[in-house]
Amino acid sequence: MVQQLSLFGYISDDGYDLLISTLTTISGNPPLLYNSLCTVWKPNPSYDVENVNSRNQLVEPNRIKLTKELPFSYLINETMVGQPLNFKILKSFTNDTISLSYVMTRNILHNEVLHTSNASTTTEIKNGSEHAGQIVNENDIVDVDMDASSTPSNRSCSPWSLQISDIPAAGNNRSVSMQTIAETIILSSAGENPSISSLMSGFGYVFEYQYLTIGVKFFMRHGLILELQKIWQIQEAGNSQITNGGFLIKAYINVNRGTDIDRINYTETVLMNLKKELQGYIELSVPDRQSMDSRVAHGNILI
Amino acid sequence: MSQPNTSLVPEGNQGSLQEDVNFDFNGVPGQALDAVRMRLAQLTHSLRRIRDEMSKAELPQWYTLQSQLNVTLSQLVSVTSTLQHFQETLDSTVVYPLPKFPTTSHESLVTTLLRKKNIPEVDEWMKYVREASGISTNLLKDEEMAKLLQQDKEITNWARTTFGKEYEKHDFKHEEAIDEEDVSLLVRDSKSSKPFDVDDILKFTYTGEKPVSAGSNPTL
Amino acid sequence: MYSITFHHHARQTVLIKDKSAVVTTAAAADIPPALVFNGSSTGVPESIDTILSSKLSNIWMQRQLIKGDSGETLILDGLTVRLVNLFSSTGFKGLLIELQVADEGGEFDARVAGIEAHLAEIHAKDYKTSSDSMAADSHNDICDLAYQYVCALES
Repeated sequence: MVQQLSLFGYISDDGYDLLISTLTTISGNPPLLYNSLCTVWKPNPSYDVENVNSRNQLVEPNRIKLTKELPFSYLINETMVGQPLNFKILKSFTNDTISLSYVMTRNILHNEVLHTSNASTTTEIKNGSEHAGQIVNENDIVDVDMDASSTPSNRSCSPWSLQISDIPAAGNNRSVSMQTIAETIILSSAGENPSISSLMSGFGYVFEYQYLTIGVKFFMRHGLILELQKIWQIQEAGNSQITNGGFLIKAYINVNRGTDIDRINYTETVLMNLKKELQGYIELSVPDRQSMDSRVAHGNILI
Repeated sequence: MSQPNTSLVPEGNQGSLQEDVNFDFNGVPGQALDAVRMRLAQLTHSLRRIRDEMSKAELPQWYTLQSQLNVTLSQLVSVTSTLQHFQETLDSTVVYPLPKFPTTSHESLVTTLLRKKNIPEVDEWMKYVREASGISTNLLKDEEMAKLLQQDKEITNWARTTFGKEYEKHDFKHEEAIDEEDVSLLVRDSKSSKPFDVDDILKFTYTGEKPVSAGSNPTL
Repeated sequence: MYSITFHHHARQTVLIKDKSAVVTTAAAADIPPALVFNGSSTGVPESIDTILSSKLSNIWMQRQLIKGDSGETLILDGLTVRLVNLFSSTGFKGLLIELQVADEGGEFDARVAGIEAHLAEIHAKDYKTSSDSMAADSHNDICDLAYQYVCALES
C-alpha cells in the first residue's frame, strides 16, 4: 500500500519551453521523455456483486488501472521519424492526432505482442529516454501490427502494473493530496487464452476506457518527481486530447508505507517547498478529492 | 561688524574625512542679524496682539487700542532704524536659501539643507567606512589619504569588470537567445490563459468522465 | 481460481483460472525498469493475494489455503527432487513431490517411472502425477509448474 502525495498544476502550450528550462535549472536534471498506456477496467456489470465481503465488511467496487509503456514507434508519425526523441518532440503533439490507434491498443489487449518484440520495445524505450535519437523505421510498426494479428500461440502478455487506488484522504485543509495505491505487477501469462483482457475478465472485470500519456519527467531531490503530461483518450471513434492547449503538471512522491508518519510529514514539507518555489509562476494545488475517486457508481455516497 | 568677504564655507576642510571639523563662523554677521531678529520678534508680537483684540466679539476701549498702536509703531520705527544701521552689512550678506524658496511647503528640506551636522545616514556611512578600512584618519596626511583612495578606486574598478565578465558567463537568458530554436524562451508568458481545469483531467483519468467540452461522454 | 506462490521462484505468484495463467510478482527487484521509469509502477508492489483479499474481497473469497512448509530439495544425478509436506487448516494434506530435469530428453519419463517404482515399494498407491503443460505450443515454465501443482492437488 503505497501512499502517493501529490500536487497538480497546469501550463499552457506556450509556456512549455520556459517551464522546461526552469525545471531543468531547479532540478539539475534533464527532462526525460516517457509515455504510458493506461487501461481502466470496471467490475463486470453483468455480475451482481454485493458491496460486502464474506466477513460482512464494506468493499466498494473500484476500478482497476492497468498501465504499461509503449514503444515510441507507436506514437510518432512519419514527420517525426529521425528526430531525436527528447522533450522537444512533445511540442509536436498539440492536437487530437496521435499515431496510436484503437486497433493497436486492441491488439495489445486481446492478442498480445510476441515476447521477442516486447523485449525490443523495452530497449527502444530506454534508448528513447536517453535521448539516443533512435530512428524508428516504418517497417517496425508494420511488423508489430502483423505480429499482433497472427495466431495467438506461444504468446504471453507483456508486463503490466495493476493498480487500485483509494479516494484521496479526506480533510478540508490538506496541503497536499494523499492517496493510497495498491499495486502488483503482472509479469507474464500462459495458457489457452493468455491475453490481458481475458485475464481481467477472469477476475470479473471488463474494459472500460483507456488513455495514453506522453510526458516529460524530472527527478528532483528527496524522491520528488515532477511530470508534465499530455493525455489522449484512445477510442474506436478516434482519439481526442484531454489536455488540449496545455500540460498537466503533477508533482508527487511515493511513500512506501502508509504508517510511516514521519516520512509522510517530511514529504509534505518537500512538496510545499516546491510549491513555494514555483509560486507566482505555476500554481500547484490540491485537486478535488472527488475527481480522484476511482470507485464505480459511487453516486453521492462519500465516506 | 562688517565682514562681507568671508565665506560661509569652513576653511581647510577639503578632506571631509577629517574627524574634527571646525567651522569658522566669523563671517556670519551675527550681531546685525540678532538685533534685527529681536526687534522683528517684538513687532510680530505686538501685531499679533492687536489682531487678537480686533477679532474679539467686544471691541476694547479706543484708548487701549491707540496706546497699543503707538507701541507697535514705535517698534516698527525701531526695526527700520536697526535695518538702516546694519544696511551695509546686510546688503552684502548672501542669504541662503533664497527668499523665493517655498519655506512653508518644503520646510523639512530647508532644515535638511541648513543642517550644520551630517545627516545620520551619512554619519553611519562614514563610521562604516572607517571601521571597514581600519584607517585612522587622524594620523594620515592628505597625500597618504589620496593614495589610499586611489588604491580603493582601482580595486573597485577591477572588481566591477571581473564581476561583469563572470556574470556574462552565467547569463543564461542571453545565451539561449543565440539559439534560434529557443527564441520563444524570451517571451515570458507565465500568465498564460488557463487551458483546462485540473480537476476535470483527473476526473477523466480516474473515472473516464470526459471534460464537458471534449465531446460525448463515453461511459457511465 | 488457484493462486500459487513459489518461494523458490523469487516469490512469484501464479494465478490459474480456466486453463489460463498469469504470473505476478511482489518483489520490487522484478519490476521491469520501463514500468518504473514511466511512472506506471510506484515501485512497491504487493502480492496479488493481498489485493484479492482486500480490494477485491467482494468478488473473491479464499476457500482453502494449503501451505507447504520446510520442504527439501535433493539433486539425484541430474534430477532435482523437491519434497514438501502440505498442510491445510484442517491438517495434513499430503506429500508433494516435484521432479525436474535440467536437460531435455527421453530420460525424464524413465526417471519418473523410477520414482513411481520407489513409491510402489513403500506401498504408497494413492498418488497422482501430472506433467501437463498449459498450452501445447507454448512453454512458460513457472505457469506449467503451477498448473501441474493444481492438477496433482485437485481431487
